[in-house]
Amino acid sequence: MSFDFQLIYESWPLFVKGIAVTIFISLISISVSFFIGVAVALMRLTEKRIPVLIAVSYIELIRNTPFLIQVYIAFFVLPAVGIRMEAMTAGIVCLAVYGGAYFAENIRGAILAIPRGQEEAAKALGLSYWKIQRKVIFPQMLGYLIPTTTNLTLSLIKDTAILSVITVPELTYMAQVMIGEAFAPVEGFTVIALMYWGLNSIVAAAARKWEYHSCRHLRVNADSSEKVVVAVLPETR
Amino acid sequence: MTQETETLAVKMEAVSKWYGTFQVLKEIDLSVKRQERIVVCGPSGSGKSTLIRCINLLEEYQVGQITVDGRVLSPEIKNAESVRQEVGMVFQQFNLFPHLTVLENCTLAPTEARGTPLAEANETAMKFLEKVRIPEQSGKYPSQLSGGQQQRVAIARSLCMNPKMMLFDEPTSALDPEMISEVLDVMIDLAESGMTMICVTHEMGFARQVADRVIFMDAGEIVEQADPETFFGNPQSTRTKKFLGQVLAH
Repeated sequence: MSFDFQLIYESWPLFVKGIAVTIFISLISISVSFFIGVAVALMRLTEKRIPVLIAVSYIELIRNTPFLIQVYIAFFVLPAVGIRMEAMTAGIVCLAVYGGAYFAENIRGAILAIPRGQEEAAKALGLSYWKIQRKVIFPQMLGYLIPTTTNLTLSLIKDTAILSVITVPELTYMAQVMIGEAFAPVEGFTVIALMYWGLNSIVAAAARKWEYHSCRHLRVNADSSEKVVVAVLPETR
Repeated sequence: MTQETETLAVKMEAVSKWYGTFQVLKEIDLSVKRQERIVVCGPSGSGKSTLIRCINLLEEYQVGQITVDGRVLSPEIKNAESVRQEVGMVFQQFNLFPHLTVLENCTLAPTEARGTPLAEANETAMKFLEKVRIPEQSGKYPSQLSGGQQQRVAIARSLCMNPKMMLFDEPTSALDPEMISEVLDVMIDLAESGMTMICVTHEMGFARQVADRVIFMDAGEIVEQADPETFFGNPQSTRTKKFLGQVLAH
């Protein structure tokens, strides 16, 4: 088997354009889906019938259908009811809506993981609502949020590849163009596999660093503290 | 606002509270003078925790009036924070902030809620950490401390806001027995320094030693209240006698 490096060198601009679009779509969609996730998580937590119903319906609909099918529906079915979108727009919207459902559950889990006593203690000290969220609740949520949202982010970056089916000019689509013209699937798919891996490795490394810096209190070894136990005789109490 | 109310730390008048249809506080009348030390005891579910949580607005009440340090607490009170800054609270589960060191736990509220400069807040924090006898732990995280140490940090943390009174919600109930006395000693010191204190506790030895008044609550009502000698030596109500019989048996 021979590997045509010359072909890769010549096609390189195509791959660069592709990954630029992948990064562009990822940045916008993931940011938007995070905010959708926060909103839906808060709706889910209100315990009022209508917001909860909306939140749960959205989450169940998105989580229980394949992303590929959601993309096909956005591009081929929605125009039948009058909603027409360009490929790129459809791609960004689909990924944001898809990611939002998963972010919502991650965020809801992180919120529920913080004991109520934390908010009560902060309130009892006279801190305002926003100070409590910023200084007490949110920093503690990071311990739960960083691993789960990193996982989700890496997943969503990889899912941009699915958008190639509706001709969004991201990396996989560009590879398919090059493969179609040069009949070189080995070179094409190998290169983009490496590029996706490289991109996600950078994201994963950044997330690890962030986790290291924000979760110091979780690494502290409780066993290293000195504990002195004093036996108290019944007569002295 | 009468002269009498001005000298009272807390005044509760005919306060009633419901959780849904369940009435947890029934027409509570209570006056606490400045520098008075009150112990509230009673069986589980008697409403004693709810009572003190109404005083710093952690719980709302539906009927009656509560006045704290001359300010009437209404459910729509604006600026609940300013009331809470004057009333310190210590919880059964400590509720220290796990992502902050001991020192940072103590300086968070003064710097964020009052805008105290950090250097001053640090000084105050070290002063109170010395008072609770653990200044050497200031750089540690709560997970590195024993329960007794954590609770003492919680006490110091509340004191750093220089509150006018302190509320204690079963502060030793979650502690291993050998750590209870280190926390009670700190509370005794605090009482002797003149702090107004309302403590919900099962520690009757503490009540006898420190309380000006012991209050017995049952099923949402104040059944009996008296100075410790009278309360323990000559309880009036059968419910009080029954409770004391159970609590003092071991």
